[in-house]
Amino acid sequence: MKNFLVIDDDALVRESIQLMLNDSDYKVDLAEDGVQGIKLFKQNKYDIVITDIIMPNKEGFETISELKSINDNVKIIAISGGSRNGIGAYLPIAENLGAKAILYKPFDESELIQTINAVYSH
Amino acid sequence: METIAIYVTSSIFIGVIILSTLYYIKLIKQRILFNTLEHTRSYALFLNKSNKITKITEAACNLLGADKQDLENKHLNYIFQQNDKFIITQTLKKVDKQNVEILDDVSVKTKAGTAHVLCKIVKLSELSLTHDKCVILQDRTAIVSKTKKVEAAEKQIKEYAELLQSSFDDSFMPSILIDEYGCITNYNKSFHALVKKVEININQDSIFDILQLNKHHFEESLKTNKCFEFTVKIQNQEKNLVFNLHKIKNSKDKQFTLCQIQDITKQKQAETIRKKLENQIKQARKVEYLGELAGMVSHEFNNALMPIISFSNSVEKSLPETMADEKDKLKKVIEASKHARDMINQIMSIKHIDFKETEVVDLAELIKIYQPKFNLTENIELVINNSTENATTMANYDVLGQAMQNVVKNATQGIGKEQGQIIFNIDLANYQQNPPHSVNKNPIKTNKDYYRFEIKDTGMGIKPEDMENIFNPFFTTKHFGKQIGTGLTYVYNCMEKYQIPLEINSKPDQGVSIVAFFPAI
Repeated sequence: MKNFLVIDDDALVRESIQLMLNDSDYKVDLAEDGVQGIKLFKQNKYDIVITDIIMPNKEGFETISELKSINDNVKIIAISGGSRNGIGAYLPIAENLGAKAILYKPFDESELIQTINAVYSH
Repeated sequence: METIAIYVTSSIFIGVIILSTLYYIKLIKQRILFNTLEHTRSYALFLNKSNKITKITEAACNLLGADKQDLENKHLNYIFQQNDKFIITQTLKKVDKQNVEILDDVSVKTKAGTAHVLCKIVKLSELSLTHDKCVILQDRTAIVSKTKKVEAAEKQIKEYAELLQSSFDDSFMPSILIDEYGCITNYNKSFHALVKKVEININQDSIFDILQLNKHHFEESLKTNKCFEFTVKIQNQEKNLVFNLHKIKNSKDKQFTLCQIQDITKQKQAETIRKKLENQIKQARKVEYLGELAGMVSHEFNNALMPIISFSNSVEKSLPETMADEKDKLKKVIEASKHARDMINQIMSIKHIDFKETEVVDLAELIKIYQPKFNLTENIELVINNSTENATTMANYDVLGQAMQNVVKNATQGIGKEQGQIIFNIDLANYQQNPPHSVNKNPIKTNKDYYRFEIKDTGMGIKPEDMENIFNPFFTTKHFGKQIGTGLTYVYNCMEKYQIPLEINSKPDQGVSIVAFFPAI
């Protein structure tokens, strides 16, 4: 059983990812922002954390840094729909902060599974 | 004996009487002369043989500001200023020989200081008894003063004229004098330099010929006598000149016009560059704002597309094969969503080229890899001409591939449904001089090896008025909705990123040629 934590402020996106990971081997927990995500991460053990970048309360970079400080071996996949200020280079920054992979929204199930497999084989 | 004695005595007596008579006649004449001089208020003095003053008129005393008693028995020199004493002494000696001498502008002492006099010294030969000479003075103080003032004024005028002439000659401002017909009567060095030192014939050549000015315009402007601007051609070079006109008259009352010329060509050019830069800044700001807007929109849009794609996919998979129509519709929903995603990515690429590692790119290989993605229609023929071997450069396959696809897409749209060609030319180029003009900030250098990578089409071409906008984001000549106008913006930004010079040429109905000059490695 692989445990996933999905952190995204958009409910439909969270649901979409949960749908994509609809497999008996996958257990998915959802969090609507970095604060909730960190709280869940401290309480449970997760194999992979999928986190959005632009979120209220605690945004993605801070969340990734904190997750890494709790458990340096955590496997993080950063996702983003693009940047609000037009710079558009957020996901590579997430990689530099410790994310194992990045995915640009919208992605489909095959792209997500492919990325998860790549993260595991690393 | 008695007779002789009487005769002698009588002779002596007569002789005495005659001499006495002559003596008295001379005395009377002297007296008359002196009285005449006194009466006529002349400035006159009588001198004895020792040149001492024996008599002096009242008027002369007043002129000299002294009493008769103070002056009588004084040498003539006494009344003169030190400077002139020597010349007076010499003149008195001359008078002894030549009877008369006139001295102009000698200075006599007066109570006020100095009086300038004309001095006439006459030997009184006939009347030479107690008085040997007569000195007549003519007070020329006022005249001398006026003359000196006039001379000083003339000198000042001359100096002023010289100063003006020198200012005119040496002025940094090109200046000319023209007569009522526009004929040049004088010009300075700066003007000569302005007209590139062509030969100017004074009083022959006109300003209209030298500067190729419109005579009517110039004369109209001359009437208003204000500053005005003209664009002239000097040896095929265009110049913007401002003419400052001043009407002047010479000493003979003849009218001239002084034209002082300001060459504002560089200012105008700077102004043009400034406006261009301002436009560029405005454009850059527009792109900045649009980029920010695009960023905001793309984030929300992409988030919204996630569930559409995800749920459509999930439903499509869950439907049985018997519901082929419904499955097909859902596939179209997914396809449309992905197309929307691609459009958003294209918009985002206006400003930001995804960072990709720089690598060695084989240009021929690049075409080969992306050729299947060109999606050319049957009416369009692809031609590839490569005169090089192993044409390689430092860039990125994905980035160049995307740029190439954008250009090919534009070429395809330019050709439309007509029969046409898209031609790739790869050549080695090295320019010794006059390299082609690059439209971006990367100039094409001389004596450098480039791979000239050209994509040319036989389509409708670009109108001249559209040329300066083709790389601007969202500029499109296509129907709104068909093309968002970011394809060539991506190409431009891509070449900027890799510092690759870019050239574009097009004329209406003659297709478009876009050339990238990749530095050879």
